[in-house]
Amino acid sequence: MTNGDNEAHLRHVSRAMLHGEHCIFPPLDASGHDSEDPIAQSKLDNGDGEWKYVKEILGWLIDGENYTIQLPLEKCQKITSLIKTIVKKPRCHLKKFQVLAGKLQHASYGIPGGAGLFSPIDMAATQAKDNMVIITEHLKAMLLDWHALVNSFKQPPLQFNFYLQTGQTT
Amino acid sequence: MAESTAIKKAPTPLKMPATMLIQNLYARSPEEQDTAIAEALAKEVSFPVETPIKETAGKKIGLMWPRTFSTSHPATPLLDEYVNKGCLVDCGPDWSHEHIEDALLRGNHTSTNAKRATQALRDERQVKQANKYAHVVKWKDIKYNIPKKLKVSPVAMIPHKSRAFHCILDLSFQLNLKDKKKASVNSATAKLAPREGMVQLGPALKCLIALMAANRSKGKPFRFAKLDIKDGFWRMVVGKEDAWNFCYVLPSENNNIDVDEIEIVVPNELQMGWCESPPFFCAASETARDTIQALLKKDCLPEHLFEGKMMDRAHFAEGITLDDVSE
Repeated sequence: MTNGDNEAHLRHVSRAMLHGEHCIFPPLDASGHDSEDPIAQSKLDNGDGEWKYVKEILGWLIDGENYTIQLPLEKCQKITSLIKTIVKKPRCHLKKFQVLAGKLQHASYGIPGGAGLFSPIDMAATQAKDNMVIITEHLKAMLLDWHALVNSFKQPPLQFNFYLQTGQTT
Repeated sequence: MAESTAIKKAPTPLKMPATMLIQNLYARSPEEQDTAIAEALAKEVSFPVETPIKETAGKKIGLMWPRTFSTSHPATPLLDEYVNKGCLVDCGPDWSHEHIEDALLRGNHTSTNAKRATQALRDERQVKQANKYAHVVKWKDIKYNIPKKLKVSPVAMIPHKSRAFHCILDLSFQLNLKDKKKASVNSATAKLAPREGMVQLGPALKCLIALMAANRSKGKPFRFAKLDIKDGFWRMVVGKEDAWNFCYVLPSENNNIDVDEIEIVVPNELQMGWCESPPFFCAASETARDTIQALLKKDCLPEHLFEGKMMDRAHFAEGITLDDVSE
């Protein structure tokens, strides 16, 4: 990423990135290999390599113009529908519960103080018997809180300065 | 008079005499390195003068090696070792004949049973074999002389967004032998890869946000670009003997195949699914990242074939100077 916006600067950074990668992962003419270049061409053609203000990085939509981060809408929907299916039943398979825990862990980066909301989830996973997690009333209420939090990600996106004030980067 | 002529003549600063390069063992650019190597080869009488220089000449295996701008990086000797000898592997004690044969009979994950998946796996093996990144043996050919480190794990074919399937070797699979679970390849693996390269993975998003927030100012928005390394793990290799730790059964087109006829794929790249693949790969990718950081400080960089793909459709603002930016 860079906050230099003129063409010469962006070209310089592009060259540094491309030469840097080819320094360690040699291009086809150097390796003599007849497969594909180490720099994925499909991704370059899709526009991943283009200098844009908004880009999905590590699963988050980062807006460099408005200084915001946002969980992509489809990710929010996946999490909320998974929570809905889990809270409907008295028990849940451990693997499914762990999938949800992983998704919430990722989402928690965008929730000020989100890291502190995992105790009931971790406890439920460790207390699973025969690979089944019991969905208690307490756990259900907590998952519904998460449902509301993830829903709130959809609008509006979170501002960086707010993110910093809440100590997420420490 | 002589002095003024000397002043008028423009010097060629980058074109250092090759002999000097060799004496000083110092080359400032890839072109200078090539010149130095070419001269060294020309002086060596045992080499024919016309022979072109091939970077892969020598013992190099795999598709990763530090070159050009990255040769002075402190991690270069380490990466060179991975290139010449392969990444370090210790996957625990050798398996018994019975253990191996049971693993062969168990075969692969059910995801490989689909015809399309079987075909994809066979095609992939063919490409790798052609490029010498895998070889195939039949069980009957090695059963009386089993290679020391032979271990067989099930392979899974996972549907992928940018290609038909993603081949993952399930090295965490524990075979049930006589009602006792055997250790998987991953659980028996000794952690030999350097961990330093992995350190920056976890806090990457937080660092990115902190950097942006710290450099936030009106009229200077941030732009982002991503480059992906294709088949990253498969560009790094393990030694010839160590490759036997990562074998899998090649699905047969015939369902009722005799155990002796089972084909075993012996890949010699880092495998997707091996617990040590990420740290080994990060050692290489972090070196690339450091090289990029160093290259950014240079005044001028040579053109790159792909730079147009990063620039073409972007819209650029006017009036911002090069000195006024931060990366």
